[in-house]
Amino acid sequence: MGITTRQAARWVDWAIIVVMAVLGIFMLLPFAWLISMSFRPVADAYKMPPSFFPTTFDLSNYAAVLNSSVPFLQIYINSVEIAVIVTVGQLITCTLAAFAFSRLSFKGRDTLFFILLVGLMFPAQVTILPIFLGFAKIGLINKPIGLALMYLTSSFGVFLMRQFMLSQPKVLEEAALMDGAGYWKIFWRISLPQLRPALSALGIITFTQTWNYYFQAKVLLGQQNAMTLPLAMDILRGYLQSGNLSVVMAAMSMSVLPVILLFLLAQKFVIEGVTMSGIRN
Amino acid sequence: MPRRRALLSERDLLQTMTDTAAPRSELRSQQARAGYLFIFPAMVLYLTFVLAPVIVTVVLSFAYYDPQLGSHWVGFDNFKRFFTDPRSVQIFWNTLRFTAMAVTGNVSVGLLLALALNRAMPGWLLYFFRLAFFLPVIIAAAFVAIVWGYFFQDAGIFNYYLAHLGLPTVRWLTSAQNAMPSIVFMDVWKNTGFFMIIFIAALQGVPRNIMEAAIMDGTSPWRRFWRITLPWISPVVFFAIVYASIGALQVYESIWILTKGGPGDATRSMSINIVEQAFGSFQIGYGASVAVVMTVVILIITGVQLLLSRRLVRY
Amino acid sequence: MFKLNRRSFMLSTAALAATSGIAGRAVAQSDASGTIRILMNGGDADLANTNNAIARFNKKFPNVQVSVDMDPISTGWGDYVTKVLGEFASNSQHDIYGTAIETFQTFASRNIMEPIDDFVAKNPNYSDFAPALFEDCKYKGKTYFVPTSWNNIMIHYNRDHFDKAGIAYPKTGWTWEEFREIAKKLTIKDSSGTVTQWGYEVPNQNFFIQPWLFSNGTGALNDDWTASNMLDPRVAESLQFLHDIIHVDGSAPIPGTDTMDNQYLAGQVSMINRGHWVIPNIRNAKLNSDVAIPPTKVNDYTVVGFGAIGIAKGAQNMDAVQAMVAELTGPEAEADVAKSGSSVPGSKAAAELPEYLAFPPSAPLFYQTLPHTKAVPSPANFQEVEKIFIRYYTAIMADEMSIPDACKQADAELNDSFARLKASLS
Repeated sequence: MGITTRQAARWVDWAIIVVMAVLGIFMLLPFAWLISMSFRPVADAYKMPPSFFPTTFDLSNYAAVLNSSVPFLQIYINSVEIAVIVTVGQLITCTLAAFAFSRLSFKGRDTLFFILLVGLMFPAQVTILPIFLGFAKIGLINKPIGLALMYLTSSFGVFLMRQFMLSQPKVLEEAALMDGAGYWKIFWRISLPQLRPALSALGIITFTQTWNYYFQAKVLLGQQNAMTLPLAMDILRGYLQSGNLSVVMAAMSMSVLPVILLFLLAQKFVIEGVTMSGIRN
Repeated sequence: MPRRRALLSERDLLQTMTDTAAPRSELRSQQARAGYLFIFPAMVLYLTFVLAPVIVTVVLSFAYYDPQLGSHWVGFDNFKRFFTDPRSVQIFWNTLRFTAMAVTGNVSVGLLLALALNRAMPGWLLYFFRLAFFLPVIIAAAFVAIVWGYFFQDAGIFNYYLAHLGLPTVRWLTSAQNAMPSIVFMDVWKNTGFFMIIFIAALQGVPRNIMEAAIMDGTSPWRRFWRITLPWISPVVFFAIVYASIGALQVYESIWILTKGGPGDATRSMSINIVEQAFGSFQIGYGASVAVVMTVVILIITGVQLLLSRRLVRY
Repeated sequence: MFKLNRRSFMLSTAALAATSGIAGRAVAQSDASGTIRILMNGGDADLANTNNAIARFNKKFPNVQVSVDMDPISTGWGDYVTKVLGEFASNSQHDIYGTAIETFQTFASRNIMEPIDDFVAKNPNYSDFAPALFEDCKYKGKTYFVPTSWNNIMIHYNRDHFDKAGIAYPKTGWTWEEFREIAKKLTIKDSSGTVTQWGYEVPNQNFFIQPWLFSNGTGALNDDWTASNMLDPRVAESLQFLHDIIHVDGSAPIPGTDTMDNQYLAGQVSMINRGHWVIPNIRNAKLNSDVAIPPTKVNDYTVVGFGAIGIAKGAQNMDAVQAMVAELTGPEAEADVAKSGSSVPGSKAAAELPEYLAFPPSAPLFYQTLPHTKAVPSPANFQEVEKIFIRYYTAIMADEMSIPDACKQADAELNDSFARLKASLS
């Protein structure tokens, strides 16, 4: 290869980095605006030219969130509770089912898997009303656990975990089976440990999704002590959006924080996890 | 080279560990019992919280449901109303238009980003890019709605900069012509990172030796992409397209937070129509019938995609 | 509308008679036990007021547990109606509902609320509530709700902007044309042509739009809310007026999905149509703002909407529930509404509290305007009517549809909806 082509290649590399950097900053602009606004009084909220960095460092909006009649801390706890239960639940039910669908042979397996996959095609808007009526009959409305129950398993989760498992060599499992190990032991001792990156990928996807459920939560959790963060935003935003936007932004910044932290912690796993998902052999 | 596997291929559905194992009947029944036990929790929850409600919805689509005023069966009246309402065509067309644009945007931008990131660069830069492009995926759309609403306003941030650069301003959300592309723009910002991550993973699976051989032969990067990379990752691209299509056909949030379906009916999707009818107007039976129609449409489109994939996707 | 009719006269007499009897046992604690579930609506201030009322109630009923659910009505009243009807359908209804006029007919026609004429007659506190509001709480002759607070749509305007432009503050009786000129003068552009200050926000909500129809002597529906009135040329005239403010004068942006409350607080729009609920935020933002009666075309009528409390049919613990409603609508609760400024209190006495009158400068205008208001048209199919109207309205304001076409199509859709309503009610 001549020097000129190598130079050209390096030049292309740099050009790509610059373009990506510009794009990356653009992707982050809305977040910058959100956070910077939470430190500004509402009178400066829409100041032009727009400022994406805090011009003042005023914590009064944060104080306003905590001093409002919305029980923010309780709501925070609810959100954590629901997200944790759902995440743990999905990790368990989805991996169990995925293990069976990818490693075991039984009658009707593929039909059952297909039926499960069809679940991807029904949005919450289609299923929520019967669930609401049913929950109301058995007293699960306004119980955070109700929303959690709804999402203890997911077609996407089973599908994703199955793909991960299929991408794993099954030599170890076969050997264990020949040695007379039970299926539970194979699953728990051999399959699961190999799946750690996959588990964290599903974990973060599930956690963030659950953390952000709005429509479902709105239907099922109306009570101030039972609601989740997205609903608290709604109340702070007020009747016909008349609430103070800076205060809403402060609440949003606070509620976004754990998700960002979680992502930063899990990023390594997520990327590696998805990398494994049956795409690499 | 081991056999390549698509995420949604038929071969996947059929492949099992015991294909090769000794087919002893005792082992079989033992395995079957274990299999049913393992899928039991997921299946029960799925039946309760997805399938049963869907069946109730199908039943409701043939009813006028209003317990206080008296519910009754109406046969196909709800469907008749949907198929004779001139608005339905517009709403149906909006959904397809959004799907075509959002799927193209999300998948192609995601692929381009993945290609750009699939090369040597300093670790901290890679870290920053992954964060920047993936962050929107993990944040609730309702959260960013306020921000994007303001970016897109007629006197908002985008137009402020356009005007100060001496360019004509754009009615991003208030013109029927621009509203849908603007929504797609936001949707791509929000979701393309998800596809980027999947494609990064797929690109890492393209065998290095083949690529290096091609480089040695002096094949142009353009040709390398079309001849090696794309065919190699085509199953993943196909998975991404199917997954993105299912999501886009159900689009609710991205539209709701920016235009609520307006101006007029210009951006109203089927999901928004369902929610407005069933929840917003208490026309539960009618809303259910629209939901049934939407589900059938999704099934048909996914089916067509599956059929096409047999011809286009290299396994 | 402020006529002293026979009913309100009787009501006041009954109130006077009852006062002495009730006062004696007000402090006594009841040993009744059980639970009461309340569904309220609104934002932060409403939640605080409700919590205060519960605290007061629990002093008298220490063994009754009260829980509150809160719906912010972020997407309009339709979702709220569905939620409430769903609760009744599954037998999981609350005991007490906070709601608004938009839902009265929907609920009352389905016979899910308890008639409360006797309760109202016995309660002395309601004697100074505007009788016109109680009139609107009736359905087929029976009272189902207690109007706790109301909002009439006024023009809120930024006085600093008027001062800077050298424009006199609006006076009662100002006309549409005067308004239009003022809006034009208040619109400011920077060197690039970007509008930095809009003269007016052409409203995007059904409720806020009504004054422009009422002051032109018309409305989207007929007077008894049973049919469309969209073909009335005066409806088209009102819509044309708003359309021209945007597209001819350029003094208002095309209405989007978000209301511009926060831009008003930030001084980027000079005039908005709002009720009283925006006052607390304006006060907190220390904006130099006041209210004016919406401008006149053929009259100076504006719209009123109000919140109210009702009791679910068949509620258990009726004594405790009624005591709770009395607390939610009592003088302290009304004073809370007045002080927080979240609405105009139903009670006239509360509306005369100094805290209430302190801001805005023309605070008394809200009450003075009441005789010249009409309720927001709220038939039993309100949820549909509102959506149809707003859908065509946004198409007109975005210049995507001609006004005659939009009115004609809206008329057809509205009448279809009324036909369906009639069929389901029979």
